[in-house]
Amino acid sequence: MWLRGLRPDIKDSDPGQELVGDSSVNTLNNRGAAFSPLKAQGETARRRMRGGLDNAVKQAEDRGLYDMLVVDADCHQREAYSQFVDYVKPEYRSALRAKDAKRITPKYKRIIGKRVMRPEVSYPLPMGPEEIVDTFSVRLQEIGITRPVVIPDPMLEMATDPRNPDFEVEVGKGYAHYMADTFGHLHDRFVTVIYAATTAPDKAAELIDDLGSEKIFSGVLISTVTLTNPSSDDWNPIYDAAQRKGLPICVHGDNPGDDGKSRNKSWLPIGFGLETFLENHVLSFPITIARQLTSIVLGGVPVRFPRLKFIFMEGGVTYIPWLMQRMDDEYVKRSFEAPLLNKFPSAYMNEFYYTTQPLESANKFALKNFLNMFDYENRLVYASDYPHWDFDAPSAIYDLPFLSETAKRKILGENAARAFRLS
Amino acid sequence: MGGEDGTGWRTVAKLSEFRHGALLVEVEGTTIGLIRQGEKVYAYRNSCPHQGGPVAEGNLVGNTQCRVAEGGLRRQTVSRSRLNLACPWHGIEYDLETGVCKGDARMRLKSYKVLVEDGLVRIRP
Repeated sequence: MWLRGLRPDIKDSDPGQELVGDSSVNTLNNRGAAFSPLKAQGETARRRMRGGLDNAVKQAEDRGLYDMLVVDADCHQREAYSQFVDYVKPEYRSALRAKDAKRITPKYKRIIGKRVMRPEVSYPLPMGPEEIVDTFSVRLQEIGITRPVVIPDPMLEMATDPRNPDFEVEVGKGYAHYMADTFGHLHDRFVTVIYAATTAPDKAAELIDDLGSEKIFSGVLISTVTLTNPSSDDWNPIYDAAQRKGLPICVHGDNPGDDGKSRNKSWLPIGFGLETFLENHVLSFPITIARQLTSIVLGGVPVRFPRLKFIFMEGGVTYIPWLMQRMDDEYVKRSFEAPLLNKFPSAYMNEFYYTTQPLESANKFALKNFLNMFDYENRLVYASDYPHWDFDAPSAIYDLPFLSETAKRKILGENAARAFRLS
Repeated sequence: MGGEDGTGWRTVAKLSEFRHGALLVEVEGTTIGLIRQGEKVYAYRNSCPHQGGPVAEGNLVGNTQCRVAEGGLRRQTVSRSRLNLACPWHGIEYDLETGVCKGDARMRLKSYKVLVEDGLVRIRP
């Protein structure tokens, strides 16, 4: 496929003239289901990536995003585990390399492959450090994102790995040191977070103490599918260390497994025990986030660590008012089980941050009503989730018809700058 | 190729340029995808109503349909003849014939009338 402008110098009556470039041909495969990859033709075509983000670049230009601070609070740079195996104990390296192979599953290809054709959604995309800077970082800038916060999503499944706790500690530590060594000097281009091993909170706290002052780190990451609950006193060292370093706790949604995670021993059945990816994805992230959030609020973690900030990631936004209302109602009836609280649970939730993606905008009127039920203008932080299949470009926020200009600026950048302490 | 000919039609491509699949052309600053199936050509603006993705660059996929058999059993099939255009950003599917979104009929691709004659593809913006 190639992009060709109309050529005014060629008229309809000039059939003999050559058209610009050559034709590009798609052919149906033998299942009649999908086209084969296209051959790019011409200089313009070479710059275009099929299904790529050129339209998002134009959106950024049209909306003046280059003149705004746009922080992407949750994106992923798609490195393979094998990129940082040298940073973990030798006995764990083969296990990590094996995980790379498991990420390309026939099931995943069936789910994504035919439809979502952005080339960067392929798993894994073993980007080396140079590519990460030259491709990932630059590409995000082109679509208007000033400051990406890279969330190492491969870490999330470590929380329920059967080899725990030493494996979780080692992988989290190895990844953090790899990021600090490789990208530490690029902290003005993007930042990342330290993964905290929740099966070994003391070790996680050591890592936060050790690396938490490095400018490349802007938060502490925990998964939503963990073996223990976040209000447990066992987790206190993590909160204490994060609070000491001024780093927010980033609670990133996860699901209890698919083909690549079938050995996990989480508290949920694989794929929620449901039939389809769609069913699983509707529930998995917001529900597992809600589980952690409920524990954090009703267990009084914000009271125990009053200077600690929380950012809940990749659950969308509509679960927020539901959980606020639900917790307040239950709390009134059983406040004796949450004795640390000195205000409604919803008041604590209104002090946390929430990333916007995937923004549930099918009914914009309903979305407006959902948002009006909490302090969305000051608590939402834009996230792209790039390059994942359900990513949101900044226009997903900018184009919401009911947002004021002030709200757009806050949600797209200013709130996240405050939450992550970005300059 | 040529501009508007006084009747509102613009010649934008030769049919021989693409046997199957899509060709992107630009008309007055708008990128339009020409999608050919056999001798038929569809023309849609290359912008998904969802978030502006390059929908015309997407795959054609068979329409998934399901009927309820006796006893409530589901019988799901994927059509070989009824195709949907899937936006490459998020996979949202549009009926190739009508441009209407399969999951949300409120969303519809901007379409253009197409005339194929004398080996030329003409559209009416």
